[in-house]
Amino acid sequence: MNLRRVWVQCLKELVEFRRDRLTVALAFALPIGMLLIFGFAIRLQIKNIPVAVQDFDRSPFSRDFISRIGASQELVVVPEPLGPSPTTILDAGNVRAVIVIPPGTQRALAAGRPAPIQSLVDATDVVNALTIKQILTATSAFVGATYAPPSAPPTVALHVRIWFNPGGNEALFIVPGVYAVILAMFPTLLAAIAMVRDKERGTIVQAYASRLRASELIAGKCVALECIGLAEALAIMAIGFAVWGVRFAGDPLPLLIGTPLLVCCQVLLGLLIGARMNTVTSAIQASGSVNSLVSVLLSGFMYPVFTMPPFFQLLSYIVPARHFINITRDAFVRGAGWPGVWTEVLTLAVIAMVLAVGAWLPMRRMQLPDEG
Amino acid sequence: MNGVFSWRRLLVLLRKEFIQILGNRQVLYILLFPPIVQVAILAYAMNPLVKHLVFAVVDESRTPASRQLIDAFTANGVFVPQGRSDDAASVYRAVQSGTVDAGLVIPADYAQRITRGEPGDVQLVLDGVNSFVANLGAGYATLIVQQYNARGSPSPPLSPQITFAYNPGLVTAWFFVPGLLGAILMITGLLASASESVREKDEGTLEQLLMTPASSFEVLLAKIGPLFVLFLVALAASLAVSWLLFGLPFRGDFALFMGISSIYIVAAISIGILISTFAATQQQVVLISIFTALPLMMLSGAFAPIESMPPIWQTLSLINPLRHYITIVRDILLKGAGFDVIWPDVLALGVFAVVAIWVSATRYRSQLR
Amino acid sequence: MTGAESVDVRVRGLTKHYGDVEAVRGIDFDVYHGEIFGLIGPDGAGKTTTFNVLAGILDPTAGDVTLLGELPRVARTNVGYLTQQFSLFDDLSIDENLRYIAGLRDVAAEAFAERRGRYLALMDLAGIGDRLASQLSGGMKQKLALCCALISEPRVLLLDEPTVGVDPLSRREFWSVLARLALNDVTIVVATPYLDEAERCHRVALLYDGEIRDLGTPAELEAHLNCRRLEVRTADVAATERALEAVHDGIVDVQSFGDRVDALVHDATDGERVVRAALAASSIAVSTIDDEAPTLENVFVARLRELGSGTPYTPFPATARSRAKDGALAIDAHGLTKQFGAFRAVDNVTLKVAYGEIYGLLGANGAGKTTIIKMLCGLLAPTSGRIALAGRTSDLRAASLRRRIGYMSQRFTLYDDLSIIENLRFYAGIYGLQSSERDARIAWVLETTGLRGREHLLTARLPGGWKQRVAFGAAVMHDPEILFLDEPTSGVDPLARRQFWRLIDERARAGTAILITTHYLEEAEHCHRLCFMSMGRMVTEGSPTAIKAAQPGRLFEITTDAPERAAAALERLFPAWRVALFGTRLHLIAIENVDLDRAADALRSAGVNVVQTRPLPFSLEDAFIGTIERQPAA
Repeated sequence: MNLRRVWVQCLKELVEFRRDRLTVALAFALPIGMLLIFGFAIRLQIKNIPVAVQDFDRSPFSRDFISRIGASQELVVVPEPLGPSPTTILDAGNVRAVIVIPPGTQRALAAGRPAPIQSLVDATDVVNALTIKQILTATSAFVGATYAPPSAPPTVALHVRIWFNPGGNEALFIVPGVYAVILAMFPTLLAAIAMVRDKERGTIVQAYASRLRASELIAGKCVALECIGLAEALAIMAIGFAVWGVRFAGDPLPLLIGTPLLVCCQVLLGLLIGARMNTVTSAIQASGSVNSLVSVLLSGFMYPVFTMPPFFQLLSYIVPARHFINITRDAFVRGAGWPGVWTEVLTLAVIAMVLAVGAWLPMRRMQLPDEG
Repeated sequence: MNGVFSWRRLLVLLRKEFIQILGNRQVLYILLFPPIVQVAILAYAMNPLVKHLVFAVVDESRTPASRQLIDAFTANGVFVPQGRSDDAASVYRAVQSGTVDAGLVIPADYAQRITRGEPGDVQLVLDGVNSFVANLGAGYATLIVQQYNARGSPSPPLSPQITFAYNPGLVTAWFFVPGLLGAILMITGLLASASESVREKDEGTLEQLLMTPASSFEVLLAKIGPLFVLFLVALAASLAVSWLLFGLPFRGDFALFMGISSIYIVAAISIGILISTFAATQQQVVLISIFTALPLMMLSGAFAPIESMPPIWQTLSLINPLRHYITIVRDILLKGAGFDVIWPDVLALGVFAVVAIWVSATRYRSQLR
Repeated sequence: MTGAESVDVRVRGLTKHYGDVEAVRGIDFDVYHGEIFGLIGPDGAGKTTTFNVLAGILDPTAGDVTLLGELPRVARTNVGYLTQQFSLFDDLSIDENLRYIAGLRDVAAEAFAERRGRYLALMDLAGIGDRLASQLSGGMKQKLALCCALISEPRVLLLDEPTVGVDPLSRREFWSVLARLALNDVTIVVATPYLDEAERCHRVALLYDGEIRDLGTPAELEAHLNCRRLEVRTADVAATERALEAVHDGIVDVQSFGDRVDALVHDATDGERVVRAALAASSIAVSTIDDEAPTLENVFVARLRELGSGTPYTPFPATARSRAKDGALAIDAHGLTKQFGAFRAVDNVTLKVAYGEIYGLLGANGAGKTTIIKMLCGLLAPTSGRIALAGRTSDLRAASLRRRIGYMSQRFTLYDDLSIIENLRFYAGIYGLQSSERDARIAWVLETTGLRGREHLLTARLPGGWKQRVAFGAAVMHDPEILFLDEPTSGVDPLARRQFWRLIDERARAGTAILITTHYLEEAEHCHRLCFMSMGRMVTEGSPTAIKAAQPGRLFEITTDAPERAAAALERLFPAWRVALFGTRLHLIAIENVDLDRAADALRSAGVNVVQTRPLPFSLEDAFIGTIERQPAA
C-alpha cells in the first residue's frame, strides 16, 4: 500500500468535506443536539404512573395504604369517582390501574382473614404493569402487616446499596449510551454517502484510471472519515462532561483505544454500504434507517442485551455499538478497566477487519461494472 | 384546464410518480421491507423484562439460618447464584467488574443476632450501571425479604388480586409493535419524501415541471401520493405479520385505524418535504431527517415512558405526532377504543398534520418560484 | 504526422456485450505515435465503450487491445483519460483537483509544480487556482479536465467528446492545444460529434452500430465518397432546398445554410446541369454555383444514409392556427438586467422576437444566455427591465400562458426512469392535449426519431443524442406559439440535426416564434436573426449575412509543412484573433492587402514552406470568434 496515495485520497476527502459548510455544521451540531436532547429527556426509570384507588373501606388502613402508594416515586394516585366499574375507568385511558379496596378490609385483616384487595391493571405496557404489581404487592404486605395480628418481628433487615449510581442519576447511565449511539450513526452515514457519491457522479473514474488501488482508496476515505468521527467524539464527550459531569471513573485507556476502533468499524460499514449501493438514495436508506434503529435498539442502549431471545443476543455480537457501550459504561461509570472490557476491544478490532475486507471486495478491480 | 388546480393534470402527475416509484426496485424494497421486517424483528428482540439477575453470595455466617435465607433468594429463580465466594471483597470486585449483577453479603454474626431477637443485617450490592435493572432488582429483593419475614406469621401477608387487562399474557411485543410501527413509518417516511424532493431539485426535473401548466400545488400532491399508498400497504402488512408472529389482536375499528394512519403518514411525508426545502443536497437532507426523526421517536413514548421524562419534555411531547399516534394505535389495537376515547389524540394529530402540510406546501411553492 | 510510424494503440477484434446488447462488435484499428486519431459516429455507436476499454477501466468481452505494448489495465498509468462528463470534483478548486489527480498518479512534487504552471498557462487558467470547479464555465471545465489528464504527462491521451456543449471559441483554443500536443509526441485518440473538428484529425474512423465503416485521413474519406459539393446561391433558400430535394436522380444530398444550399453530386458538370434545370422548373433565379470539395459532414451524412440511419421527414400534425399574428412581437424584452450579488450576469439586454421568426442567441458559456432564457420564461425574476410575452406583461407564470410556451432546457427534459412513451404521454397529458391529438402527436415523435416499435424502452438506456431528439419532440408536442430551446442539438449527429432544423423552419413558417441557443455555428445560419453575447452584454445583432459582411478583412487559408512554427511566427506579427491553427492548416484574417505579403515574409524567415494560400468565405464561426475576441477583457 502506497502511503502517499492514501494521504492524497484522504486529503481530498477532507477538503471536500470542509467545503460543504452545511454538512460540516450538521456533522457536529446534530450529534451535540441529539446528546442534549437524549441526555435531558430520556428516563428509563418508571415514574409517575397514574393509578386510581376506589376506597370503599375508608379505614385508617386504607388511608395508610393510599398514602404509601402515593409516596412511592413510581405511582401517582389520581382521584376517580367510585361509581363506574374499574373496566370503564381503565377504558377511558386516564389511569393505568384501578385498585379497589372493598369495605371491611381492615376488619378482615385484624381478624387474620384474607383481605380481598383487587386491582385491574392495564397490561398494554408490560413493564409498567409488572412494576405496578410489584409495588402493590410490596405495599400491601408492608401496610397489611401493621394492621394484622402481631407476628414474629422481622428477622431480616435488608440494606440495599446500588453502586455506581446511588442517586439514581440516570444521566450517568444514559449519556455513555448516547455516546455509543451517536458514534454508531453519523460516521456510517457520512461514509456511505462519501463512497456512493463518487460513483453516482462518475468522478470515481479518475480513481479507476490511475494507480490508486482499492485498498488505498478505502484506507484514504477511512482515515479522513475517522478524523471527522473522532472530532465528533471529542465534542460530545466534552459536552457530556461539561453538562452532566460525566467523567472518567477509572482507567481511560480502553476508551481511548476503543473509540477510534468503534468509529473505524462504523466508517467501514458505511464504506461497505456505499460500495454496494448504486444510488445515494438507497445508501441513505440502508445506512440511515436500518443502521440507526439497530444501533439504538439492539445495542443495549435502552434494554439490556441479556433479556433478548438467544438468537438476537448472538446477532447483537456483530453490532459494534453493543461492544462499545460496554466500554463507555465501564470508562465513565464502573471504572473496572481492562479486565472488564478487553474482550470488547478485541471484538471491535475483529469486526473492523471483517468490514474492511467487505468494503474492499466490490472495489478490488477498480473498474466499471460490466452492466454498462 | 387553465385554472390553478386541475384534476386531469393531477392524475397525469400521479401516474408519472407511480410509474417512477414502482419501477425502481431498490427503492421499493427499501420502502416496504423495513417497516415490515424491522417491526417483526425488533418487537421480537426487545425485551425489557429482567427475568433473572446473576448474583454472588458470600455467607460469612455459614449457619442453617443463613442458608435458609439464601434459599429464599434463589427460590423463584429471579436471583441466580454464581458460585460461592469466600469473602466480601471478592464479591465487591465481581460486582464492580460487571461479572455479576448483584452481590449478597451475609455477615458472620447473622445467626447470633437473630437468636438474640435483633434484626440480622444483610447487605445487597447491586450493579447500578443500568439503574432500571438495579431498581428492579432492589424491588425483587425487598419483596423476597418481606415474604421471608412473614413466613412464620399466622396470617398470610396481604396480597392483592391482580388482573391484567388487555394483555393478560403480558406479551411485550404487543407493547412495542405500535411504537415500532409509528417510529419506522416516521423515519422511513421522512427519509423517503425528503430525499425524493431534493433529488428532483438536484436533477433539474423541477425546472422542467415548472414550465408546464402544472401548478405547484398539483406537483406537491402528486409527490405525496405514491409514498402515501406505499406506506399504507406497508402498515397493513406489518400488522398482518405481527398478528402472525405475536398474536397481536385488532380489537378496534379498522376503518378508523386506517383513517388516522393516513393522517399520520401524510404528516410524516409533509415533514420530509419541509426538510427538503432547507437542504440542497441529499447528504444534508439525510442528516437533518435523522436528526428530526430520532428525537421524535425516542421522546414519543415508543420505547421510554413519557411519564418518566422531566415535566418540560412531557409537555413538549404533546406536539409530537408520533406520541399521539402511538397512543391511538395502542388504544385501538389492544383496548378496542372508539373515537369517543381517542378523540383528544386524534385532534392533536390532525392539527399537527394540517400545520405540517400548510407550512411545507408554502415553503415548497415559494422555492419553486 | 511525425516520422516514426510506431503503433501506440493496437486494437484487434474488440467486442463488448452488455448482457444482450452488443455495444461493440469486433473492431480493428491502429493509432500511430504522435497522431490525432478521430472517432466519429452517431450516439450509441460504441465510442464511449471503446474508450472505457482503452482506458483500462472496463474489460472487453473479447479481443486484443494493447496500448504502448501493454494491456490497458497496466498501461493506464501512462494514459490520460478525459471522460464525457469531465469527471471533475465540483467541490474542489482548480489546484485541488490537479493536486489530487497528480497524487493519484504519483507525480513528484517538483514535477507537479512545473507542469501545473505550464499547462494552466497554456490553457489560460493561470491565476485562478482557487476557484472551485463548480464555478467554472463549460469551456473552462473542459480545459481543466484536459490539464488533469495531462498532469502526469501521459504518452497517450484519450478524449471522449471533450467539446460537447462548449462554445466555439473555447473549442478552437482546445484544438490548438491538441494540435500542439500532437506535435510534441503525444498520441491522441479523440471522439467528437463536430465534424469540422474531425477535419483537424490526422486520421478518422467512422463508427456505426458497433462497427467501423470507414477509416482513413479526412481527405481519403472525402475521396471515397466520389462526389463534389455544389454551393448554390439563390434569392430564396427555402424554395431552392425544396426544389432540389424533389430531384431523385443525380443529387445525393441537399443541405441548406443561411445564404446558400449545398448539393452533393457525383459529377460536377452533370450535377450543375441538373440543378439549374430543377431550379428553372421552379422559376428560381440562380446567382452563383461553385464547385467545392465535399466536407466530412457530407461523408458522415451520406454513409449514415447508406446504412439506413435516416428517417423520413414527417410534417408535424398540427391543427390549423390563425396566422393573424404575423409580425407581432412574441417576445419583447427591454433593458433586462440580472444581478447575482456582486456578479452581473445579464447587463441591459433588449431583445425582440416576432412570430414566425427564428432568433439565435449565441455566446460563450457563462455569457448569460441561459439566464436570459430563464428570465424570459418567467423562471427567474429580472433585477430590472420589462418583459412582454405573447402580449402579456404581467403574471408571466400563469397556466394559460405556459400552455402556449414550449421549453427545452439544457440539462434535462425527460425522466430517465420512465419509458419513452410514458414520457410522451406525460407531457401530452400535462399540456392538456385531447386524446386524438395526443395519439397523432406521439406517433409523430416516434416516427421522426425513428423509435417506433421501441417506445417501451427505458429512457435511461437511450444514448444522449437520441434523448435530445425525443426531448425536442416532447417540447413541441403541444404546438406552442413560443418556443425556447436551450442547446437542443447538443450531442446530436448531423443527420438528426438536419431534421431538427427542418422542423424548426417549418414551425417558424407556421407562425411559431423560436428563441434558440446553440454552439453549432453552421446551424445558426438557419436563424433569421442572431445576436452574440459576451459577459452579459449583447455585442452584435443582425442576420447571418449581415454579420458576416460586417467582419473586417478577408479570410485566407494557408497550408504549410510546419504548421506549429508557422502559427507561432504569424502570432508574433498579428493580434491573436487574426491567426488560428486548424490541425495542419492556418487561418489568417488579412485586413490590408499588404498583410498577406508580410505573412509570407514572416513564414519564409521562419523557414516554413508554404504549400498553398487561398481565400475562404467567412463562416459564422470566424465571425463569432473574431467578434468575441475583439471585446475588451473584463
